[in-house]
Amino acid sequence: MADRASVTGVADVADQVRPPVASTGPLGWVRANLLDTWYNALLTLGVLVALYYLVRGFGGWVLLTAEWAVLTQNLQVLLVGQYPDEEIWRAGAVMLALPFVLGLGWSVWPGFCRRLAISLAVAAPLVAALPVEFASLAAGFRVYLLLNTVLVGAGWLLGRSTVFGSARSVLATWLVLFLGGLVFLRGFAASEALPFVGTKQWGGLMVTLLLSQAGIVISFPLGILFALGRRSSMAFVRVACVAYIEVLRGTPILALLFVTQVLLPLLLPDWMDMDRLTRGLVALILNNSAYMAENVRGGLQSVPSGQLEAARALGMRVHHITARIVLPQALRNVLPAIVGQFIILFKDTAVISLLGLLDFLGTANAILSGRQQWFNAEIEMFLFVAAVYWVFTYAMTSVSRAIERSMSKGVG
Amino acid sequence: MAQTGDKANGQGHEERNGIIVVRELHKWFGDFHVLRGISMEIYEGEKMVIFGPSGSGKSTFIRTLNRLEEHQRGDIFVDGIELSADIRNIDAIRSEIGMVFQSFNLFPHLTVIDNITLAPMLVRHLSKDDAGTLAMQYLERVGIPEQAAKYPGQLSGGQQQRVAIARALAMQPKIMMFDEPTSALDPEMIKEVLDVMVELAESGMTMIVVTHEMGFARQVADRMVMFDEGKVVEIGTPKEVLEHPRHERTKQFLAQILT
Repeated sequence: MADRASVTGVADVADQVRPPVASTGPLGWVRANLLDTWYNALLTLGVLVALYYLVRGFGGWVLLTAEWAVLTQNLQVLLVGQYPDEEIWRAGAVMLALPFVLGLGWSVWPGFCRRLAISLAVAAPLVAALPVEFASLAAGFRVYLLLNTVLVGAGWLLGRSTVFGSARSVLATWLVLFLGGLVFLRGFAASEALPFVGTKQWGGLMVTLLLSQAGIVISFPLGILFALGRRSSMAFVRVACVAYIEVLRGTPILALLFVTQVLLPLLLPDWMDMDRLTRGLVALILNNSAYMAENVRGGLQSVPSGQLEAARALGMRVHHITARIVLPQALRNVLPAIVGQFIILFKDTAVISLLGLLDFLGTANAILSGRQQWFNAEIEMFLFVAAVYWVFTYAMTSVSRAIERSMSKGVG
Repeated sequence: MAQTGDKANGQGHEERNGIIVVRELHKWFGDFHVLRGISMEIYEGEKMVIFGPSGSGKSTFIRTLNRLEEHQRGDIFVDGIELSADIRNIDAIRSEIGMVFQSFNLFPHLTVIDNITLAPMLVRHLSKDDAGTLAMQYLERVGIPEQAAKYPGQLSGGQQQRVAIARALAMQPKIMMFDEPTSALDPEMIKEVLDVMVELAESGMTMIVVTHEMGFARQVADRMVMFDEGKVVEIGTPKEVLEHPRHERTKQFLAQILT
C-alpha cells in the first residue's frame, strides 16, 4: 500500500510541475533568442540602433519631406487610367465587386476571407479619413471608399443566408460580376446609357486587376487540361501537349508579347479581331498556362496509383476518377506552387506596359514622364506602386497559407 | 463458426455453377511470366483463401479478375460476363466485385462518409440521401458509425480498413476480394478487421481472400489455394491443405509460416 501511495504521489507531483518561469513568456523569449550569448546581445543592440535610424530617417521622409501630391493629384488616373470622367461611375461600380465578393465569402471561408474582408472594411474608411486633398475626386472619392465598407457588409449579410453562403455560389458570383463587369466597362457602340469605351482608355490598377483575374481564370483550367493531356494515352494529344508546354516555357514572355501583337492579327480571321489589350492577355495566358501545366503535372504525379485502383475497382469512370479523386488531391498537393504562379502572373501583367498599354505600373510611369511637375516624384510614386503590389500579393499568399492549414487538418 | 462455413459450402454444392470461371489464364510483365495457365472455378457463396510465397502471382491473379491488371491469354467469366477489352463488360464486372486493398486506399481528401457514398452516387446514381443512408448502414455493420464525419487520416489502420470494407460493400457487389487486408496493420488491429470479414462470410458473401492468416482460413474458408511461381500448386479444403498437404512445396511453405 505504501508503495502504491508513493507512486501515485510522484505522478501527481510530475503532473503539477511547471516549466521554469524565466524560459516562458515574452521575457523568456527575449532572453533565449536575443540575449543568450554576449555576441548575440551585441548583435541585438546593433540591429536596434540600425532600426532606430532607419525608422527615424524613413519615417521623417514619409511624413515631412515626401511630396505625396503626385499620388493625390493623380489618384483617378492611377486607379482607372484615361477612362472618361463622365463614365467614371462605371469603373467605380465594377471595382466594387471586390469588396462585395469578399463580404460574401466571409462566412464561407471564415479564416482568410473574413480577415481580408475586415482588413478592407477597416482600411477604406481610414484612407477616406486621411487629412490630404484628393484633387480629382475630392469628397466623392471619400464617399466611394466608404462604399467599399458598405459593400463588404452587404456581401456579409447576403452570404449569411443559406442560398449564397456556399463556396460554389461565391465563386459563381465572382465570375458573373467579373465577366459582367468587362461588358459593363466596354459598353455598346449604339447605347445611350452605356456608351462604348475602348480598352485604349482603360488603365491603371483596374487594368492590372482585370488582366490578372482573366489570366488566372483562363490559364488555370488550360494548365490543368495540358497537364492531363501530357499524361494521355493518345499519342497525338500527348505530343501536342508536350510541344505546347515546352515551346511556351522556353520562350521569354516579352517575345511572346511581341509575337501575339504581330502574329494574331495575321492569323485570326477578321471577325475575331482583338484589341491590343486582349492580345497582351493572350500572351500572358500562353506563358502562364504552360507553367501552370507543369505545376499541375507535379501534383498529378504525387497521387499514389492505389487511389486510381481503388476508384477503378469501385467501377468509377475515367472522367469521374480524374475530377473527383485525382485532381482534388493533385491540386491540393501543389497548391503553394499554383498560388505562386498566380502571384507571378499578377506581377507579370506589368510587361504589357512595354507595348504602350497602361497597366498600373505603366500608368505610374506615364504620369511621371507626363508633366514636369512630377519629374522628381519617382520615389513617392514607385513606393506607392510597390506597396499596392505587395498588398495584393500578400493577400494571395495568406489565402494560400490558410487553405494549406485547413487542408492539413483534414488529411491529418 | 465452422458450421456456417459448411452451410455456405452446401449452398455452393446445390448450384455448382461457378460465379467466377477462369480458364488457362496467362499474364506477363514484360518478359516475366507471372501467371502460367491458371484455371479455377469459384462458386456462389464460396470463401476462397489464396496463399503462397511473395511473387507467386496471387495478388496479380485477383487483380486480373476486375481488370486492374490485363491478362494476355485465357478467359475470365464473372457471373456469365466475359472479361474482355470491352469497357461495358469491365464496368459491369467491376460493379459485381468489391475490392479491399492491403494499403486501404481510402480517398484522403474525403470524409469517411463521402468515401463510401461517392461511388454509389456516381456509378449507381443514388441520391445523396439514399447513398448516405446506405453508407451509415454499412458503417454500422463494420462497427464505426461514429467516425462518419472524420477524415481517413484521423483513423487508426484497423478503422481505415473497416471503412474500406464498408466502401466496397456499399456498391452492393456479389463478390468481395481482399488483397492481403491485414498485412499493413499493427498486430492489435488485425482482429478487428478479421472479425468484420468473418461476419461478412457468415452472411453468405462470395469471398476471395489473399492472406496468410491461417486461423482465419481455417475458420472461414471453403477451399484454399496455394500459389507458387504463377501456378496453382494445391487446392482443397482447409483440412486437406493445412493438415495433409500433398505437395512438397506446400509443406515447406506452411512449415515456414506456421512456426
